[in-house]
Amino acid sequence: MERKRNKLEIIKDILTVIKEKSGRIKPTHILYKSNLSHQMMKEYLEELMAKKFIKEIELKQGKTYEITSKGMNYLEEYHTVINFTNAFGLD
Amino acid sequence: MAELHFIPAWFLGFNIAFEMVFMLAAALVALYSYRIYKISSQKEIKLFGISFGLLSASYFVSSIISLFFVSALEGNILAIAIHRVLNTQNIAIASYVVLLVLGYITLLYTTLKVGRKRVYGLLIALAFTAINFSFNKVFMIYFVSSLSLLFVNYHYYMEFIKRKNTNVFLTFWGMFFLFISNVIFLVQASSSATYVISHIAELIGYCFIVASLLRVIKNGKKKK
Repeated sequence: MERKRNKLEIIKDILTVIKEKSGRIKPTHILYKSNLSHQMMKEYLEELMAKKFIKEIELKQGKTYEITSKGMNYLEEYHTVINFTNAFGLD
Repeated sequence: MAELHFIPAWFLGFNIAFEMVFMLAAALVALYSYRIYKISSQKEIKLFGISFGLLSASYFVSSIISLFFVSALEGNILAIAIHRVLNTQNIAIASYVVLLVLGYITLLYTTLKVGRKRVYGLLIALAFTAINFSFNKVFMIYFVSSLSLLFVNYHYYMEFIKRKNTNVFLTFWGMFFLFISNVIFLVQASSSATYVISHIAELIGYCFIVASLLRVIKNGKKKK
């Protein structure tokens, strides 16, 4: 059985999906690639926007999400964050 | 008048050095937590950093108290006394107690993972109400901190069982020795040897915590 992902891993997965799509993606792609329910994805996207990891861009074709430099930094430092939260039981 | 601590005369000076080491160790954890918080924006990490920041400040105030407000008792015993009047000494002691208790309560709240500000407020209110209205305030300060650390220890024990990871193992032992350094005052607060043993236990605790942190930092550098 697969281990349940924690919040930090889900954030990493969402940001990775956006990064792999040249830094910009439609919400349907995030839903498909991140393996979350629609409601969960919505909540995570709102949180990521509030924390300035991603930004929402309104286009004629609909909404897209773009990864910010803060989001990129999170991906780069992800292992340090995970090591820290594991060591101090914070995830 | 009540005594917060009894200190053997030979230990004066060493205790200040110990407290400066605790202050630096706790500040290191607080600053690194802040760095990780800036990257991840996770509230739990911020609170963890705040708890160690408060503890660091409490050690700073404690070293000031040891430096300026120690009075001689009979024999080779010194004491930090709580007077009935409002003076600089009592303000310093009150600041130390507030910072220490807030530090441990914040750490407890972080590890409980309830995420509700009202629970945090309730824990603080209960702790300070108990201390304020207690007949034996010194006992209650250490009862509150020991009880908080007991729950913190349970959290780290469960984390270790779940992860079987060296870093969390080190953190668990670190928190265990911090618990020992507090609980010892509940058993024998009136002995000056207690003060020395408590400082040694706390030093061992911070060695474990800093070792865990250094392993995280080293691992992070390797990954880059």
